[in-house]
Amino acid sequence: MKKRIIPSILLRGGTQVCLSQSFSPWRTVGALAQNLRLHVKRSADELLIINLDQAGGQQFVLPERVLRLVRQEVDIPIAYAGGIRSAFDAAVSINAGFDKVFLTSAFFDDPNVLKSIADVVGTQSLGLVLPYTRIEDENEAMVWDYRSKSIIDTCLKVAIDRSIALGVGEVLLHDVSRDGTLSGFDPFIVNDMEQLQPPIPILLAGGAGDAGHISSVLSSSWIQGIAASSIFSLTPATPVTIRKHCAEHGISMRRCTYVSS
Amino acid sequence: MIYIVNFPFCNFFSLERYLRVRNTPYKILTLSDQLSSIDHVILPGVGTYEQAMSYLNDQHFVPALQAHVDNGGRLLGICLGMQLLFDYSQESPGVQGLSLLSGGCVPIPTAPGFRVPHIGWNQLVAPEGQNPQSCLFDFSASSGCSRSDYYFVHSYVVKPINKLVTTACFQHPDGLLCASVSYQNVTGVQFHPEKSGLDGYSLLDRLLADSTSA
Repeated sequence: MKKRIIPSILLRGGTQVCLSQSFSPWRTVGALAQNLRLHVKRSADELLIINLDQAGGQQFVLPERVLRLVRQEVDIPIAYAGGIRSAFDAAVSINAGFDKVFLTSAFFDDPNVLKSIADVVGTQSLGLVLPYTRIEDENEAMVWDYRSKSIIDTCLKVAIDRSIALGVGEVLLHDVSRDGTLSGFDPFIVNDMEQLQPPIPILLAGGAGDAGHISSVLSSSWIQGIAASSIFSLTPATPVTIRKHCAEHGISMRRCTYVSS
Repeated sequence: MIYIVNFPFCNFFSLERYLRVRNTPYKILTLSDQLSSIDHVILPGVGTYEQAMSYLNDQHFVPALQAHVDNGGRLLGICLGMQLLFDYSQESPGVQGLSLLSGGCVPIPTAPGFRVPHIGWNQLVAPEGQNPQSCLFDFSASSGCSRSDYYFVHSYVVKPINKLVTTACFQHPDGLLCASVSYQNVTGVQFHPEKSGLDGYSLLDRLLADSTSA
C-alpha cells in the first residue's frame, strides 16, 4: 500500500479556505474552487474538507455550493468532516459525492453512534479525527476537545482502541500544539503507534513544514499518510515534490502517469 | 447507452463527473427502461452488501440485471458493485448476491504490514500464470505490475471459484488477492477508477469502450 499525501482544506464563511493555528482559524488563503483545482492538478493522493462552519453545530447541513464545486473539480478521493452526528448525516455525505466521512464531536458525545454509522456506510468510509496534545513533550498524549479547547481525561491510545472497537476504519491524529507551526510532527507519535500497533490505517496531521518532516513519519510502517494545509499555502512544497522526496527515501508512494508539478 | 444503478449510497457523482467530462450520455436505470444488448450498465456502490442487495431487491432490479447479462448486455461493477456480481459476502451472512459469477466475498486477511480496511493507492499485479500483456490494464511486461496506481477503499475481497475470471490482483502478504474480474460481458473492478485521477479515467475509457463508441 502506498503512503498518502492529503491536503486538508479548512472551510469557513461558506467557501473561503483558511489556515489554522492551534485549531483556531488564522488566515484566509483563497477560495474553495481554486484550492480544489490546484490540489487535483498537483495530483494530491486524497483531499479532506473540514467545514469549520459546521463543526460543533447542532443541525447537519451539507452546503450546496461546496457540493457543486466538489462535483465539478474533483476526480480523486475526497473526505468530509464537519458536523456529522448520525448515520443519516454520514449517508447524506457519501451519497452527495464524498468517499469518506470523518467525525470528532460525535465520538466525544455519543461514541455508539459511530457503530451505527459504520453499519450504514461501511467501516472503510468512516474515519475519526482525534485532536491531541501533550502537557510536556514526553508525557502521554491526551485527547483534546476542540470545543472547550482543553484536554479531556482520555489518553490517545485508549481513544484509538475504543474507536476501532466502534467500527472506525481510519484515524487521523492531529497534534493541536503543532497545528499550523510548520515545525515538524510530534517526535513521539511514531513510537506510540509502534507500541500500540493499530490494525487500521493511521494518518498524522499537525506540524508538516517540509518534505523531510513528512518522510520521517511515513518511513514507519504504522503511519499510512499525512494530512496538512499550511505547507501547501506557505511553502513551495506540492504533493508531487513531497512524493518524489519520499520515494527517494525508499518510501512506497503512488505512481501516476499524468502529473502537473 | 450507459445506465447507472443509483444506489442510495454510492459513488454516483464521481461517475457522473467522468461521463460529463467525457461528454458521454447516460441515464439512471429505472425499472421501465428496456435494456438492450448494446447497453452498458454500471453498478457502483459504497456501503454494505446487505443494504445494496436490499435496494436492488426492493427496486426489482435483480431479475432485470440478470436478464440484461443473459441477453448479452454488458455490466460493470465497481467496488461493492463488483462484489455484488457474486453469490454472497461474509459481510452480510444469508444475503444472496446477483450470482452472475460464482464465488463470494471474504474479509481481507489481517497480516503484519497490511492495514484493513485497504484504503489508498495500490498497483495492480497480473494474476499468476496469466500473460501480463493486457491492453486493458497497463501492466509492464517485465514486472507484471501496472504502471499506474489506483484507489482502493474496501474491507472485503472477492474470491471467485473460477480463478480464470480474475484479470488483475493486488499484493497482500499472504499472496495475490483479486482486484478485477471479467467473464464474457460481466466486468468488475474492486478499486475506484472514477476516483483514480486521469489514469483512472483512461482505464474507464477502455472498460466502457464499446458503449461510448456505440
